[in-house]
Amino acid sequence: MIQRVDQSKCIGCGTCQRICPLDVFRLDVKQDVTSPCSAACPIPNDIRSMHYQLQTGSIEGAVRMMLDNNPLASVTGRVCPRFCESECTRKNIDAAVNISAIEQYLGDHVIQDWVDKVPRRHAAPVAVVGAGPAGLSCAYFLAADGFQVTLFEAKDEPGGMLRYAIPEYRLPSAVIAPIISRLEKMGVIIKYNHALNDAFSLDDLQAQGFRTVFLGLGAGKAKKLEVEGVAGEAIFSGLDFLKGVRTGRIASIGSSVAVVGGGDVAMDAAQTARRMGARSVTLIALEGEKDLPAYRHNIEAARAEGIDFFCSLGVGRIAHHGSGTKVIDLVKCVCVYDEKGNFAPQLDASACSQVTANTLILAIGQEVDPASVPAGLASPEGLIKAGSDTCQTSAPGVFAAGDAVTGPASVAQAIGGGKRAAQAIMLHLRGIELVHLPPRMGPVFEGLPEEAAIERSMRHERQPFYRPGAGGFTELYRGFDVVEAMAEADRCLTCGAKSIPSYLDDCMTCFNCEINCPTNAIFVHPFKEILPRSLRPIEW
Amino acid sequence: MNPEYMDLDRQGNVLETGVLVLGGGLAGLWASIKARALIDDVLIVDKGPLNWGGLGSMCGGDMDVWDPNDDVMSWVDDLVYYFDGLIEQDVIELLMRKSYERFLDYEEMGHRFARDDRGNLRRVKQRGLDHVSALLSRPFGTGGHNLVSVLVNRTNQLGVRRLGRIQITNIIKDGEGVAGVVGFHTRSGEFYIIKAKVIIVATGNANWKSSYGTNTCAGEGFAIALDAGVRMRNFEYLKVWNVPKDFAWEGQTMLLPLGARFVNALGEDFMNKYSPKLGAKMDPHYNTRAMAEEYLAGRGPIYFDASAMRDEDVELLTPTGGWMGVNYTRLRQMGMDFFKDKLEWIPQINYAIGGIDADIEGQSNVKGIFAAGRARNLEPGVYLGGWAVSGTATTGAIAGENGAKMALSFAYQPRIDPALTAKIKHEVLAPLGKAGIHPKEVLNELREVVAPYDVSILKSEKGLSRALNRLKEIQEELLPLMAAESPHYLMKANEVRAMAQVTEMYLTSSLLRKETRGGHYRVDYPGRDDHYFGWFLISKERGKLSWSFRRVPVENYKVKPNRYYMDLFQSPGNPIIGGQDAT
Repeated sequence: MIQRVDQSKCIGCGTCQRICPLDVFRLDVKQDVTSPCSAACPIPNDIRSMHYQLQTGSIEGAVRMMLDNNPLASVTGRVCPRFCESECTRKNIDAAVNISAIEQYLGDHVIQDWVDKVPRRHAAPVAVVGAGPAGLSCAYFLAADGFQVTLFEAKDEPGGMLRYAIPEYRLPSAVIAPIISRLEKMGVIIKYNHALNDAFSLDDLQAQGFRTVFLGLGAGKAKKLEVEGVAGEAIFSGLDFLKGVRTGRIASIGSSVAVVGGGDVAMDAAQTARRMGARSVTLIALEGEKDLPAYRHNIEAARAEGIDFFCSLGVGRIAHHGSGTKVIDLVKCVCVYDEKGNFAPQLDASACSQVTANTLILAIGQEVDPASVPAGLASPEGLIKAGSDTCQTSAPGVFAAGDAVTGPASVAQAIGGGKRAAQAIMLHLRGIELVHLPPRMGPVFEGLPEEAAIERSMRHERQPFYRPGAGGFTELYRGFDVVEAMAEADRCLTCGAKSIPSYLDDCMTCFNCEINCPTNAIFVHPFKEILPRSLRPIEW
Repeated sequence: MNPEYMDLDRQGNVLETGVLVLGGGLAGLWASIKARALIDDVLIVDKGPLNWGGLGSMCGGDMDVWDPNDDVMSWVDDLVYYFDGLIEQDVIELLMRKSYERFLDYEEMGHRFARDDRGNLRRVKQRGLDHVSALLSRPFGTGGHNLVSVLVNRTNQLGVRRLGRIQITNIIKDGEGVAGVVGFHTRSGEFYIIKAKVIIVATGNANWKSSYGTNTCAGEGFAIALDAGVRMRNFEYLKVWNVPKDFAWEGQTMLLPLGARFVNALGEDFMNKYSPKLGAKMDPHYNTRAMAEEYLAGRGPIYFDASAMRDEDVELLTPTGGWMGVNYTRLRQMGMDFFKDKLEWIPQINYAIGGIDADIEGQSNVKGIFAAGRARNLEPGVYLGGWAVSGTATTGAIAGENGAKMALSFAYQPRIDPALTAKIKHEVLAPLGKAGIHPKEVLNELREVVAPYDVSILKSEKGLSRALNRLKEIQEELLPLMAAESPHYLMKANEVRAMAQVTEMYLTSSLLRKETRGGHYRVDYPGRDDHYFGWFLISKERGKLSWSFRRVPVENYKVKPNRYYMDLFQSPGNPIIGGQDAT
């Protein structure tokens, strides 16, 4: 019968609780040590604990925990480049846990009769400016803590880059709507068409009683390409193009499209052009094939759609022909960055080629719109200056995070920034110095001991609804169902947890736990339960 | 009105499948593999771990496989003899033929059976029979584990879906057929509703948790099947096994031919007295009967004595890997040498043999409910080495194929009434979080009921009646007071309720069969009686168990029983219970 688990040897992989036929074991996942996935997560999500909730069969528990960690899980589950998975311990055994698909499952899960109304627990109201991922995240965490939050959005719809920069087939608008309605049910007031520095100023907010403000302004201005012939019909910035398609303003683009840029907006624009019916889509990037700045999965998706990649090339000039056709001169890009790592492309005009296209999309990067930044808050690089850990700007009571602070980055980084800012605001409003902000994480799990053998198991993937390249703007991938979510969560090694023998009654001395424990932490005594031995003579 | 009564989705997780397999052990895995070859959606639900594969992982992995060079009717003849005539000859012929196909499947999937130097399969004759023999799984010691692994891998490759840690509590019917099942997660208590066209019950045998590799299957599969109108049979038979008193050991049948012996307190190799022809090589049920008689004659306890084995045989059979390896090493560390010391062994109830009464296609009397493996009853109590590995493969595949064909035969998905499942959900989860008697303590009372020799091995009217009276008290007084502080114990409470019902089926069937046959030995009726040449069938009507009888249609069969394995065993005459002479 099971006698003990040596806690100093236990690495929390959960093998015992995964395989015990009599379900003797439970895990204690609340530990100081941080799992590698959570340590890599910019939000950060407590991934180990959420997966353990699913391992214990509690979908509701996992969904609630997800919401406590990341209110935009349905978004990040679809678009996050998976910082977590690149650090997953299982990667060295078979394949990383599909953390992203589980996150989407939890984010998409609707719990009936959810209690959204949070009692008011704070005196001062807070203004959140910008309804992109950073602002939505900050507003959610403040509202969940009982703050009165007013959210100011420059555009007439919420979502920021989520709505305008990510195409429908990757992130359907139907995913954003429930996030907004949840915020509204929690009591967040949203004011659309309220652009900072245009409709109102920080002083106006102060005058309205908002002594605490969060700025989540984003980096939504497209960078301009400075070459001859860059203006004209059917030439769009990447962001304008994606937005135009989303809103239906751009309906036709001709049969050939050229996209300039190697980042994610360029990849999304190219795939969108393909879906709009363009027979040929060419992507022109300064970087070499291997150095494209877009996320790998997005590059692969573009390839699967049949996009032609023209790499290590810059644009010389653009000539306009009568029929609307554009002839783009391409010159070889010798190198993109200078010795200091600054963006300084060197072009070799002697090596020249040409590409023709009906439509030209310029997606060479985004920056913070200087017009949106309140006076005195900007850095020399045109970003908002704020403490990376405290999110505090130079203006008292004004906090900022997201792309406007970091420059263009991932959705997860923006959500993490908004979440951190909310924590800082809570301290600030109690008069507590921000040095007392709790650390983002504890010491990181050291990894499996070399000799530890963990049983391999197959990773589940989201399956496409339709063949990539077949066109269409409906969502490409089907999310997990309960069977897949449970099975995939079961693969999680809950790194850093501890095993606790919890239900000892029916241990049948099968030694399964001991034999399969990768660190020999379990001791099973060979003697069986005594009571069923009672098969014996009676007095005849 | 509570919105749950209108909407399944508000009650829990709703899933849909063509074929639903209850139990992911060897039989369930075979059923799903063969079903999946014909139909897209196959779902296994198990109350145990997700990818575990069931109790087969603990067995040696040896498999009774018909030898195609041998006349299959010789095998049928052997088995009719061994089972004292109480077997469907057409079924057993089919299963023996199929056993060869399943053996080929196992090898194709990567499993290995032992061969001699010339590549011929090594066969071990079983229980002193002339033809029936088993193939030996390789490598020695982890054969069962390997069998399970190849099947689990194959189901994963095929895309069989799987849910673990879910206890199914009810089968939902749609008219005469099935509509699905409901159950709950045994860790969270979250509720599941699974729509299915066909259900294959592969939940193993019922047992009283003897702690000998059988603590998982407690008869809940039978409980839900009975409630759905399914007929059971052969519940008067137990698998009673001779086991070490303190620990577990697999492979005694390999040791006995190599010089190991059972001896009584006087050092006598007593089995030669009871079975001059086969000695301890007889079916273990007869060994345990002899052990019990030795105890009663004052010659207990009984020891297993391997000291006469040759050193090279000891070396060959010393466990090195798997759970047996750890077990052996640890016993040695504690000063117990299995091969040198005389260690006490006892007879112990392993499980109830009874199960679902199915037709040759594996279907029960309820349309759409199939049975596979040990949950489908074939035999009357005696038990061949390698029988379960063979039977789980053959009956599992048969149920899977026929179940899938039936599921494909109707296009619509059966409907489940939300009001019904809402009511069931309320009832199922009602004991959760309440204070009451711990299920394990009620289980102990049930163990005490079946444990005495005059109830389990040397059965008598007196013993069985006494046990049945005590069972009634437990059913009336203790069962209603059981509660579950957590979903884990809700599962255990359901197990114990199912066990109480199995105990009732066992005791009543044993009282009804006033003869001795197969593994059923009545001290007060020690001979065969043609009046009982058939099966006691059990069904549930209005919450009460009821019994009927079906004769063996021997007139339709090729083998006319004229020799009986049970006759190999003779009680030499016991001063307390009397011997054969006393009848």
